[in-house]
Amino acid sequence: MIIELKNAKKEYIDGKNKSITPLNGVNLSVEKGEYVAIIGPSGAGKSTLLNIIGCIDSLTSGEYSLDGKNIEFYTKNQQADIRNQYIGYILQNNGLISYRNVYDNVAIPLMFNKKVKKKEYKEKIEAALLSVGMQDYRNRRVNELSGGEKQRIAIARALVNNPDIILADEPTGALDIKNKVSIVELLFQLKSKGKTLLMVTHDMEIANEFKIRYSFTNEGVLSQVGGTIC
Amino acid sequence: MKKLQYIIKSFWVDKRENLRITLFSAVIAFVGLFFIANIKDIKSNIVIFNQADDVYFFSLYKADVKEKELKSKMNKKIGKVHSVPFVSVGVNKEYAECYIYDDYIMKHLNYQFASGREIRTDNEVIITSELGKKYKVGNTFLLSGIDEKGNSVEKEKKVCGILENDIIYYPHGAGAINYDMLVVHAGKDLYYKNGVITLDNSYIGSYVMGLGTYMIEPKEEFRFQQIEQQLEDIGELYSGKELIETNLETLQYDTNQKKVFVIAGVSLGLSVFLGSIYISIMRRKKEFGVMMLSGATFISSIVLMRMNGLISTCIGTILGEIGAIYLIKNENLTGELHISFVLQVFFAITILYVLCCAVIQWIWNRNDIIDLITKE
Ligand SMILES: Nc1ncnc2c1ncn2[C@@H]1O[C@H](COP(=O)(O)OP(=O)(O)OP(=O)(O)O)[C@@H](O)[C@H]1O
Ligand SMILES: [Mg+2]
Repeated sequence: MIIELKNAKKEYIDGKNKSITPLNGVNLSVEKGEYVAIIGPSGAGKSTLLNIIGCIDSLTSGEYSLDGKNIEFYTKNQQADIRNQYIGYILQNNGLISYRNVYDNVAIPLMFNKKVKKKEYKEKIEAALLSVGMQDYRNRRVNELSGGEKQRIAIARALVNNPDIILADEPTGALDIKNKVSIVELLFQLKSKGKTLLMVTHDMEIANEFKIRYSFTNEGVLSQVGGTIC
Repeated sequence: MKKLQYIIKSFWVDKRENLRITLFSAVIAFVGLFFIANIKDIKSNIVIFNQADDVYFFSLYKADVKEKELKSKMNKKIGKVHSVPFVSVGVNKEYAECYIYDDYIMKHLNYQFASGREIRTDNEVIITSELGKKYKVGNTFLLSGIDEKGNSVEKEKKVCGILENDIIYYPHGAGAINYDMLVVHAGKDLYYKNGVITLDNSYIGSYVMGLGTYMIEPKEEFRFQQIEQQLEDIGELYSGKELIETNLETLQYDTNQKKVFVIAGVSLGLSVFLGSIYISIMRRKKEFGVMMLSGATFISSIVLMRMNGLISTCIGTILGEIGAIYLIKNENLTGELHISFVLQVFFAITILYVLCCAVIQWIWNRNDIIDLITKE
């Protein structure tokens, strides 16, 4: 079990002292190499779930284990290393630095990877850009790119440290059909490399491509849907 | 190497903020160095004293510059220039009241002793009648003062003579402790020993932060009268007394003004620093968040994000200091410029930048990655 959430609960207190529970007793287990789609209405808690799995947020109660070890037992620095080398997070709205160029954006995770030699930087960045078909864009500024191009750069950044787990928060969000298809194809190509993918999507067509689908049904409750559909 | 490249590229990202930071750190460095070095604009630079047949030229500051000026204006040969800086911040009561005159000067100035005799050894002093109420001949006491490098100096002195009456009251400049025998006199006469001179301005040296004193060796080939004839050519010529008066005025005026300048300078600098760093931090919030998301620690993100500003601060500070040093060296200003002053100003401004970063980071940019990455 690469990812395991047991009775995970996340609670926010909003401005009016009302509690919001995007995750209310969520149970989720994902094996290595599995491709998982997460669907659900807006505001259900999908991003919250990915944030927890991506080690940038913590649970109010319950348990999250990564690779069989409870995340609470990792130190802050270890969690930073996990985010760096083990998890590639494609943020909702791509999370690129608009005023920097493509090369610098993709380079950010590499700068903090202690296992990669500085000599290898260029090679790794080129490889990541090549894998998303953006090798000619390296010197372009991000805010000059189209939505689809940005999304590819975001994927390249998530892949540059060759992580085992990829978290994709609506990577096809604002794209047209053609771009959607190519992004999904791109992510599915990684399956052969043994990567694990958790993808949040609103798009049922895309969700149907996944064997394993989870849906936020009630408030903060996650349940598997159509697990048998191929 | 890659991180360095990233930092260098960040200069462009923060160009406006960095420009502002550079400019203002330069201004603060400039003002700061002037303040610490206690730079003053000296009203007069040349004093002429006449003793017997010799004529002495003294410049309170930048004797070499003045020498050139004199040469060009008077078209005469002038001897080598020595510099004798006085920087004394304060002396104790005993110090201010005692005289360390030697045999020669006692005779020369015709002092009368109430008791005792002239100085014969280095650790003896002659004291005023005022101080004589407290000490007798043979008593010892501690003289303390501050030398030209700002270090405190203490010497034990034995009273060898007490003056009959305090004909002239000019306490010693702090230089006396370093240069041993120093003499001051309000009149035209002047005595020097061991190549060191104090002017009347050693008076200033005792009470007010020091002035530089420079000396031109008395090997002049012309006489006072000749100079007097050409006084108008020289321009600013003051007597020793006038010199003290004008400079004391300037000094008192300076200290009050300086306080205002420093307070204004520091608050202005602080607000510009805070403002620029704030803008930059808020604008680059997401970048900070993405770094953290990508596995950077809080500290290494801060270093990457703020280093360009720090470098701008350093560059600005160095430029400001170079400007200040240039001005002090080339203009008619006095002050002590130790390397430690330059370093003090440099580190103070650098620390100011770091503190500003820390404060802003602490208040507006805590360790919440989600908050950071969702900001556009
Ligand atoms: N920091 C926070 N403080 C308070 N409430 C929050 C916070 N973050 C998220 N929430 C709330 O938690 C709920 C789930 O948010 P989340 O971003 O996970 O939704 P989502 O499923 O990703 O929605 P979308 O499809 O629109 O992206 C929302 O109601 C949101 O308002
Ligand atoms: Mg979301």
